[in-house]
Amino acid sequence: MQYRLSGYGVELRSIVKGDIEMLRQWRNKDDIRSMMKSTSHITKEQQQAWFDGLEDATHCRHFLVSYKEQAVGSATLTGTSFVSGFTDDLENAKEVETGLYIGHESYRNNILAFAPSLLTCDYCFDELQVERLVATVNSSNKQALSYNEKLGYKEVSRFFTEVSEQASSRDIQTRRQEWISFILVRKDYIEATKQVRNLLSRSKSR
Amino acid sequence: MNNYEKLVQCFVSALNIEADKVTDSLTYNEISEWDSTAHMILIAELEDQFDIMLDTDDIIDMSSVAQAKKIMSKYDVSF
Repeated sequence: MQYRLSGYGVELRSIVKGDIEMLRQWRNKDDIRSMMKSTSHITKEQQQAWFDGLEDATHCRHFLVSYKEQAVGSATLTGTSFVSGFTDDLENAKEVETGLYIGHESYRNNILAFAPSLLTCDYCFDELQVERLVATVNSSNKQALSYNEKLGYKEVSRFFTEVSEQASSRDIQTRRQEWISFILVRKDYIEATKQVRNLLSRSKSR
Repeated sequence: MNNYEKLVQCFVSALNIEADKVTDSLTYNEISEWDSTAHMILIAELEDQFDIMLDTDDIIDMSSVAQAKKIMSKYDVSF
């Protein structure tokens, strides 16, 4: 099933086969990859396998983010269960994990990133009726930490993972990575984003 | 005060930075002072100072001082 969301100046639509190579190239950029839970390079084959698996997936939705009819990034919603840690059908999920990156170079440092986040938050709280959104952020990603705070997310816990990195062709190094878990409830979201939602929902006047 | 000086003053006031930092190449998020909160204050300052109402695309596209000048010119503000 294809989904389409529109608002705050951007459009989100379900990813199609023609998008996946561009997404793979964005996802493999060093600065984007390094902030992901899995930092490995994604091959064409892996990307295709991932996309093939989406067809039957009911627990997640992957969107292409477009601004002025130009693809700029990716947004993901995944139904989760905070208690069990397992994924849950998105339509029935009480909790949804959000993911976003802006891949287009022209919009990497831009307030535009708020637009797809606001749109997906509205969708989750108002249409899917989820109780809370969750996000997990690399503790060294200061921009994302500040960004989440501005959306109203509250820190709930910290944890560590072991990340393997290819130091050279023969040497793989492992380092400890700290992650921060956040939760967002509708009340905090509405309160924290009132001003930015107003700014980004103005109609075109010129 | 001419339009350029007014523009600089908007950045100084919204971002709480010195005027000499306001150059064409200054971009959003390049300095910690220009974050999303400051951006919203900046939009309010520009609208107030120049008596205009920016639309959403212009608010998004205003990602540098140079871009701000370009966008303001669409609202008949010349520099």
